[in-house]
Amino acid sequence: MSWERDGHVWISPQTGARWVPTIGLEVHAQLSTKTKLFCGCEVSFGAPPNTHTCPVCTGQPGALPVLNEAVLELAVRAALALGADVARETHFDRKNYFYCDLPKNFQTSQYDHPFCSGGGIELSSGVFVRLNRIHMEEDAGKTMHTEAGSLVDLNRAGVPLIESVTEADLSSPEDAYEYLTRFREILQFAGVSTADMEKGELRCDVNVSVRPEGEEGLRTKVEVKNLNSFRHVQSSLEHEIPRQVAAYEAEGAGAVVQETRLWDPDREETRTMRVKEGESDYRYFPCPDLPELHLTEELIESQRALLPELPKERRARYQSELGLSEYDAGVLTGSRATADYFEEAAERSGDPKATANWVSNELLRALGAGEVKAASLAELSFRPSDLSLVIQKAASGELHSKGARELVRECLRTGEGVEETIQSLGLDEVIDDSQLEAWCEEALEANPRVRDEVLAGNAKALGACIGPVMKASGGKADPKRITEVLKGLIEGSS
Amino acid sequence: MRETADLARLDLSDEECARLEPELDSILEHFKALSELDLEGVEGTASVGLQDVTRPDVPQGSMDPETLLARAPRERDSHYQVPRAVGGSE
Ligand SMILES: [Zn+2]
Repeated sequence: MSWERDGHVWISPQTGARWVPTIGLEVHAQLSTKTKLFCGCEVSFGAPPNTHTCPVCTGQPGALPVLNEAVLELAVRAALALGADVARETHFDRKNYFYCDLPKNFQTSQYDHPFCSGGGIELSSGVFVRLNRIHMEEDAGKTMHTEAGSLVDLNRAGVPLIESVTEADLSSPEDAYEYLTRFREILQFAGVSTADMEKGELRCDVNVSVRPEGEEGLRTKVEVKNLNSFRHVQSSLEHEIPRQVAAYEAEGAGAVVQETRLWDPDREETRTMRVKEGESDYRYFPCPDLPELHLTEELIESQRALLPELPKERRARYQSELGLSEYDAGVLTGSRATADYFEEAAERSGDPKATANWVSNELLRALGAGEVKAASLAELSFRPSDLSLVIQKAASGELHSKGARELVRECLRTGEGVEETIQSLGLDEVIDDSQLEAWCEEALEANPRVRDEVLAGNAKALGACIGPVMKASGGKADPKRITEVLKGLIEGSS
Repeated sequence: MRETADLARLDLSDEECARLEPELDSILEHFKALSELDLEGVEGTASVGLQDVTRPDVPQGSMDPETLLARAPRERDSHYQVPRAVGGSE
């Protein structure tokens, strides 16, 4: 059954009625610290189970937590990057519940005095998605459910997170996808989180309700969990919105209950996980082991000073000052590593447009195709200074465009420097004109029609001769020079 | 009583509930003494004494997993082994 949509309105295929969804997001992001929130255990991904634990993060009797100062710094920087207000006083609370991945039987979190409120992100539609709050909290352990029971690894217990909660300002699955993309890039650019979803560094829960268009007030919201990618967030909403509408249409008001549902990406459906515990069931109270915190002007200003230019501003500047297209500006700000690489190379080469082409057509392509072993441009041995050197050599005519491309690919493949690679590829060999002329004459003799067609005004016909000459030169001749020589030969003979 | 036991995942019998209820009541009675204090003009606070205690972000080394797991009720493949818990954390 397909659902027709009219902007944010979903039209029921059963009744033709018009429904609007209201969506809010809760996003957990892991802060990039070396150690956990309250103890000196190292934060590590993929370590053998239970090798990064201590009395504090495993909740042994008498152990006392001490706050990691880097958490405060990164959390404040994240708040500033998201345009939020940092509270001057804040403290941690205990959120009490029992589950096998929570060794202390409470999660140290923040309740009524989060360190930050307000802020938000503007979407391309112009909608501003407001943040209600951001708070700091610790992660729980990881549980694997097996036939023999549940197996718990506490390496992740106590890892620092920030949880951000939006207002219900989103109104489509596409909005949710865009918000998450923007949110992630802001955290990455600000250097507060690597926000790698595959490593569980960014996790998202969705709250969604639907109501007939024009109805006042919101209906019951449902929480959807187990969303391991932005795609999952979008698809789960594409299924949960029609599910709620169909339930209301079949059973009337009250058909949707407040609950937590799990997204099953294989079956493409959400299903009930549990009816949510009420907030009062968590019996929040201030953590007596952790003294109150004062976020000073000094701390806030020192973090503000570390804020780099954020992706949205960079995109605008690439277009207005460097003359790049909106598309190129978007590609080049895809990650902080890409943007920083591009800017350094562009400044060195003095040619932003050529740099943009090289970065997106060659470097990002090679990265995406897995031709180089690097997670980002920051890891390439081919540095921005190497790229600008190639661009300058191409501009001065020292390298022709085909040779330059071959050179870059070879550098990426071998990890060797630019000058060495020019020599090993023989790109520095000068081809003398008499040799080139001899090859051109051969090519013209082999393709006698080319001469006639060029004389008849079809300059493009030359193309048929360029290939054979390039081949004869072993790829070293400059196609532009070949064209000149061919033209000269034809014109001279007429 | 029932609700408190449920939140703590305790399976209490009716007899246990009946016995514990007056005990819990008397504990709560003790706390009433606090609410009788005159707090007029006293601002709320989350902690007394210390403020702004932090430590540098420097790894301190961790426990040997064997030491940790020696205290576990059951162990399997270097994990805590517990009865199968479906549902999930927060
Ligand atoms: Zn620890």
